[in-house]
Parts: sequence; structure tokens; C-alpha cells
Amino acid sequence: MGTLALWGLALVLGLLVWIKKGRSTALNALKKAGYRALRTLPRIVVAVLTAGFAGQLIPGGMVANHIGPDSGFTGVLIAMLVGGFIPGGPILSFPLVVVLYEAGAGQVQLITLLTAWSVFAMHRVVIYEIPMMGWRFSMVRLVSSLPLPLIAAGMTSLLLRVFG
Amino acid sequence: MVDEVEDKKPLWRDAFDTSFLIFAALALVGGVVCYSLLGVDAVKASLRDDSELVLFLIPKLGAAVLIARFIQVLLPADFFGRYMGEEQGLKGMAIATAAGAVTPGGPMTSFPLVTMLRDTGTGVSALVAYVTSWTTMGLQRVFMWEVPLMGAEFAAVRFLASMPLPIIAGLVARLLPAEASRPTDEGK
Repeated sequence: MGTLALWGLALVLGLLVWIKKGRSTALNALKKAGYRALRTLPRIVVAVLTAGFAGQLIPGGMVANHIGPDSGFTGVLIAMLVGGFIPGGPILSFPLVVVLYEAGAGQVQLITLLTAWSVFAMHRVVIYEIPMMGWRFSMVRLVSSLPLPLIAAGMTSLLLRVFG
Repeated sequence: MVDEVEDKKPLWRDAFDTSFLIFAALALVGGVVCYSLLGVDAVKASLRDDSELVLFLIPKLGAAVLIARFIQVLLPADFFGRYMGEEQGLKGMAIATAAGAVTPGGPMTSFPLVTMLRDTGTGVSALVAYVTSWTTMGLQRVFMWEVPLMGAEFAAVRFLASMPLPIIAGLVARLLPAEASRPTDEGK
């Protein structure tokens, strides 16, 4: 999406907040958003650096061969496996996805990878979910989530065929 | 709002926290390995690409954090949470999916809500649908990361492809025996 479109959307939503919730709520939201941006920026810089060096170190052709657009179902399975083991939040995974995309990964494979990372994220399960919800809930959720990356892959292929 | 607590810390300590230090260390190691294996040109090329990406991101990040915050003010997650405990079956899962998508922030803000919902009697299928929706369709993540980095088209395709996932996970969860009835307080 163009930067302008994003700012346009932000402006419309901001006006909605102003009209519906009042001026002080809108200003408070503005302040918090600015704070978040400042807090996130240093992390983005180092994460982009990390992902960039990783991209240099991955041998050329390897990404395209294994999870490229023509890698088929095997590529989807590899993407699912890799995604499930990315040990970090969006600050790490999205710059990594950019690097993989530029190195020739396919969209179906990347969406599979992102879905697997989203639903399995083992660090989150261990640090937050099991302590707060108990291991049985985590097991039920993880087992229920097993088919999801493959379903996302199928849906993506379908969508790309219909609209692509 | 749920993430009020994390906003209380001084800004610099929050910005340069543990995850910053971990990434800084990783970047340093990556840079050194890159230099010793591929030489100085590879490092320079990488830094050039990285600075382009960061400069491309900054103006979008500003709009993205605003969009995420405004959506959160307009549609607080507890708004949907209120109805989740009351509704059963598909309707409950659909509400859980909507609530998950608008829940902002990381696991430290969403899991307390999940715990609260469970304690007030929300069924396991709605809880699983909620967590799945928050992780796969979370709008804050879409606007803060995916749209700026991967483009709106990629984000839209992934979002559409993810729409059935929370309900499917919720339906599968219902078939599993482990937590069929009202959960216990274990692990709290």
C-alpha cells in the first residue's frame, strides 16, 4: 500500500476517534502511537540488519529451490517446518520474510511459513501460554492448529488462481 | 486499556530492551561472519539494502502505529469479549474471531484476556478460535509489519486465506477429549 494511502487511512480513523470518543482520547492515542513508533524503531533497525546479513549468507538459489513458487507441496512442508521454529516475534519474522521473498521464495510458501510461525511460535507457548493457560490448553490448541498452515497454503493458491 | 502497564517504563529503557540487545548481538555476529566469509563488499551491499529498507519503512511505520492505535480505541477487544462467554457454537467462535483480530499487542496483553475469558466460562473452542485469530489475523500485526514490509496485496491475500482458520481450529478443538468440559484452574 502506498505510504499516502496508509496516512489517509490513519487520518480517517483519527477523525473517527475524535468524533466518537472526543479530543482528549484522540490526542492520547496519538501520543501512545508516537511512543510505540519510537520504541519500535531501534529494534527494527537491528532486526533488518540481522535479516540482511542472513540473506547474504544464504547461498544463492537455495531459497528459490526449496521454497520457490515452483517448489510445490514439498516447499509448503519445508516452509511450515521453518515457520514453526522461528524463535521470535514479528520484529524478527517479517524482516526474515522480506529477505526470503527477495531471495525467490513463493507467496504460497511464505504465507504457509507465516501461518506456521503465527500458530506454533514455541517461545510464546513456553513463556506465556503454558504458564497462564496450562499445558492441556496449549496441547489442545497446538493439535487443533496442525492443519492450519496447509489450509492457508490451499486458500492462498485458490485466491491467487481466482484473482491473480 | 490492557497495555497501559508497558507504557509506564521510561522510553529509552523500553526501546533498548533485551530483545534489542539480542538483535544487536545477532546483527554483529552476522556482520562479522558475512565479512569473514564473503568480504567487505557483501557487508557494504547488505548495509545499503538495509538502509533503503529502513528509510522505506519509517514513513509507513508512523501511519501504521496510528492505524493500529485508532482501531484499538474504536474497537476494544473487551467489547467482543463481553459476548464471547454468552454465545455457544459457531456464533461464539465467530465473535471470538472478531475479538482476536482487533486485540492489539503481544502475548502479554492477549493471554490475560484469554485467562479471564476462560474463568468466566468461555468454552475451549471459542478460546482456541480467539488465540488463532489473534495470531493469524491480528490487525495490529498486519498494519505494523505486513503492509509496510510485504505490501497491501500480500497482506490482503494472507488475511483472506486466514479467515477460515480460527473456526477450523475451534471445531477441531471441540473434537479433542482433553478439555471438553469446563477447564480446571491448573497452571495458574
